Amino acid sequence: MSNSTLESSAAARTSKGTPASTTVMSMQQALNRALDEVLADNPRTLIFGEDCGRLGGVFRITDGLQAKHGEQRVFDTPLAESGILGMSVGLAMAGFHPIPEVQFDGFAYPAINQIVCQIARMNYRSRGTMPMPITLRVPSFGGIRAPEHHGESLEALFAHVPGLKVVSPSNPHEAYHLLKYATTRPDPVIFMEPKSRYWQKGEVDTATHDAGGGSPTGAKVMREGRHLTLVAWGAMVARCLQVAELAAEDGIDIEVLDLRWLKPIDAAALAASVRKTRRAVVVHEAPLTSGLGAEVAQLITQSCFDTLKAPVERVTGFDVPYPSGDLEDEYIPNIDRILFGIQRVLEYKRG
Amino acid sequence: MAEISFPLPDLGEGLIEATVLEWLVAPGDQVERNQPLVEVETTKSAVELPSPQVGKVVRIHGGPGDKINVGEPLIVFEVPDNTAGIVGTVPKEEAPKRRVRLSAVLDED
Repeated sequence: MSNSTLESSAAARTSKGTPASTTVMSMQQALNRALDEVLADNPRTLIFGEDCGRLGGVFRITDGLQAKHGEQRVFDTPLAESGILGMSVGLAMAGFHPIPEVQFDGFAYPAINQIVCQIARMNYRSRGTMPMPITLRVPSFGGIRAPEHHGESLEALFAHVPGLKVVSPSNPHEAYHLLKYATTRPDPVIFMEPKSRYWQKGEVDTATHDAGGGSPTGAKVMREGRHLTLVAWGAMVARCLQVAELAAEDGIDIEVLDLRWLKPIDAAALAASVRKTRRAVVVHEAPLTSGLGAEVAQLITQSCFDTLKAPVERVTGFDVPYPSGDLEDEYIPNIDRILFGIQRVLEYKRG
Repeated sequence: MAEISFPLPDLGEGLIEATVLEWLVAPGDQVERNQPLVEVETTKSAVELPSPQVGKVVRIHGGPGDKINVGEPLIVFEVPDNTAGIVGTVPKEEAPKRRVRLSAVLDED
């Protein structure tokens, strides 16, 4: 495959001027703005969860929304996740588009019955008469030295459930656009916000999601490269971009693919990238066994078996409960562990 | 900036008060999570209270010898607005560090 076309399109993208619709904001602010606009655009939308109303959320994502849109549309709930999601089912049946929040990933567990047995399959069960347009926001993954139940990566669990869509943004721009897109879907979407990236700022172009005309679904190439593809999502995308910079010092040209949608997974984008690079490493925070990395590795192998230079490598968390803050840096894939994974692929010899 | 008040918790089972023995921090101090804040004595024991969070100390309540009731303000912290109320710590954006270097003979076949 020719790289010249890819390089020229990348150059065209970077050389374009910054449009007037672009502002620098944190992921918190980007999500807050998206929710504000969604509430204004669609009178059927409602936001609720623990501390979402008066306080504005423990991460300030819903800050100011109750004052602006009223207590009928942005409100606090009791500390009962099964109630939050159960109420979402009823509201969706009644024609609303609920945007509930569970305050932390680990608190989605008490609502698994509502998510799996009702939200995911009510449309199927009712032969399409009761769709569930619910956007469930879940502050997810680790990285903030929080206590137990505050650093879990549940994407494989959600992705395994037929009827759910799962998406995770990696930066403020993606957060703004993916959340706005998710809230227009007729199906339930689990929106996994990488909480360790809430405070990082980036340019957000509110007018266009992808200046190149790309789709809001599927994966997105965040950096183009020739020798190896790093596949990641959520907070690991930023880390993989750092790794790609460091690998370039060693003469290794790495492509970083932000998977974005974890269900459905963009198999065509995985194939297109790894057909070119012929090597792949998947990085995620979740434990190794039955993690989404296995699914990604299989999709790559299926489409690129004939040209792969090495088996797809996984760099992941460990098969242990998510550790306390002091051990977090040992658990989450760090730069050196990802570089080791890349090196294992680079030096692999057949036979 | 937002102010967050930390009330005296029940330090045993059903204790209603504690006496301040010595403050280990002063207004203006920047404290870390779990840093000892104050030594207090209850009817059961003398204990050091660790800080529940990161923040700057704005006010402390009660001097040595003063009794404080459970649930009354003990200390007030000041934290930036965007971190008020979070569980955990805002991660610092640090320059990437590495120890591993890559080596490869990339045959371009």
